Amino acid sequence: MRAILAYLTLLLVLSASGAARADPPTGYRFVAFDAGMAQARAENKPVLLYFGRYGCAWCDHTNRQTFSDPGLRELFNDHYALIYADAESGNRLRLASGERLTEAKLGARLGAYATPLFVFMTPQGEVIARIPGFKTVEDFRNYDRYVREGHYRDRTLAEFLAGARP
Amino acid sequence: MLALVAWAAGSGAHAAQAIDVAVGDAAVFHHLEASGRHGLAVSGEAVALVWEDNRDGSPRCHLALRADRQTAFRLFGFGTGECFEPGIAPLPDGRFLLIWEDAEGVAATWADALGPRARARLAPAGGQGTVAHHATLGAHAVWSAPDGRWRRLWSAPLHIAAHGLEAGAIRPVDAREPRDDQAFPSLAAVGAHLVVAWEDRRLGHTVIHTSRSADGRDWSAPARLSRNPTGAQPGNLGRGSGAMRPALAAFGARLAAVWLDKRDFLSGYDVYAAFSDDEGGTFARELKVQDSFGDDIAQWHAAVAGNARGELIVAWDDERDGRADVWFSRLDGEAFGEDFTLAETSGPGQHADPVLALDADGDLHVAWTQRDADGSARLRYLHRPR
Repeated sequence: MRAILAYLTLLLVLSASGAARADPPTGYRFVAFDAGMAQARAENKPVLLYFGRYGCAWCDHTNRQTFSDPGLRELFNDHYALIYADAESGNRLRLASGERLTEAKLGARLGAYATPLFVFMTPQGEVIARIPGFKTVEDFRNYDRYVREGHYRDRTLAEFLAGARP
Repeated sequence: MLALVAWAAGSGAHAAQAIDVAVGDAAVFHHLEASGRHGLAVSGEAVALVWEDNRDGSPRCHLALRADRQTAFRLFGFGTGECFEPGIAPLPDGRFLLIWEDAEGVAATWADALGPRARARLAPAGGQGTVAHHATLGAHAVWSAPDGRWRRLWSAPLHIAAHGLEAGAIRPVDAREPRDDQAFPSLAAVGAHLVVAWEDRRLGHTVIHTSRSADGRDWSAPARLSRNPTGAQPGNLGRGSGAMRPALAAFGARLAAVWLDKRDFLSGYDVYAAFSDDEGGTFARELKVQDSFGDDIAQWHAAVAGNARGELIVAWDDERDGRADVWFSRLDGEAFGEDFTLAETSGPGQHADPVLALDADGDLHVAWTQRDADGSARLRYLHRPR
């Protein structure tokens, strides 16, 4: 019952935000870009921007293998503003600069030529890290530490991950 | 860059300089985002360019039109409120069809050196409009607008009156109820037909489809154009690879379609093309446009232009030299030649979003967005004599 309610909640969130009918993972509070950025600013939360593509196999794989993890779901739902964008979509969004452009156009600028692409951003929309391709639960937990512990302020993600490895 | 010299093989002695059609500081964004990348058109000696920018603080549509090569571009604004993705097509006698999305929906009009005339309102919502003029079937528009859950393509004839445009009966391009989104159409006139290509998601991923009409009212059943693979990958993952943003251009008696295709997903989108020798009834010879120097990186914003002499040129932008430059390839027989760029469309800064036209003499007309190293924005136009 709880799962059904969560799914219905997700559908309502996506519907209310005008999100694309694409492939965000279920159980996560992904919304469209403008709503997600507004949430990030209001709640002072970092942003996880998930660039998928309609029908994308590696997005599907990531959703099943990684985003199905209950702990990861709780982590991201609680501590991030979650934005899903479709790399081929004509849905329009507004950047902090005031520029209005489509999700596909933003994807081209961020190099979303291979999906999934995960972009971590500050609540103000500054890009912290761009991470393409399939990633594991452990990978995402490391990215979370890099972002929420503020390591991005004094080292690159590669430097941080090198230090994080046993 | 070796490819820089390639244009010289088909160029005349005098090359024109690029013109700044619009300029702005770092807070200004010029967008050349017409559906089908139909943002630039030539009618006789007249040249017209449409785009959207935020110089006034919010997105507005603009037209730059010059009546001949001796006169400067005159600038006109059009649209109601926020305005997006304006498109253009040539009419005879130095006139042009315009279509756009604004705060009141989808609209179209015609323009000449005196500017845009009264608009015809096509739909209360939607966008991604494309227009074309056929010598006997007249002017037509196709756009994408919501129909219940999905976006659907709609078409209408456009009647040109002295005061402006009037729209005829609006019909869906695909008579069957949509099963998923139809978007970003590109319309062209070739022979006795109008042909439209678009993004279609009925197969669970984006596939380019086409349809044609011999009367502007009834459209043939949609036919698949792009062969980007459909179906789940091993492990029952996904539904198919990507394709996006088709563009059509007639060249001679033939029709070319280009689009961005992700069948080789590791290097992002490639520019693909296919040709029709039966006025859009069937397409064959699907082939990659860019050469092997562009294979390992993503291509974006593919545009195509042809002329009555049977010449065809494709443009796009990519970052093979570490920054966005505009690249071109001309059809040479049945294959595309080496990629080349121009001094004006490459170099420091970002050069992107090309729109282009070939005139009756084979001269190239191209416009693009440029972001200089200091952050300033320029919308540039170049007339390159053949």
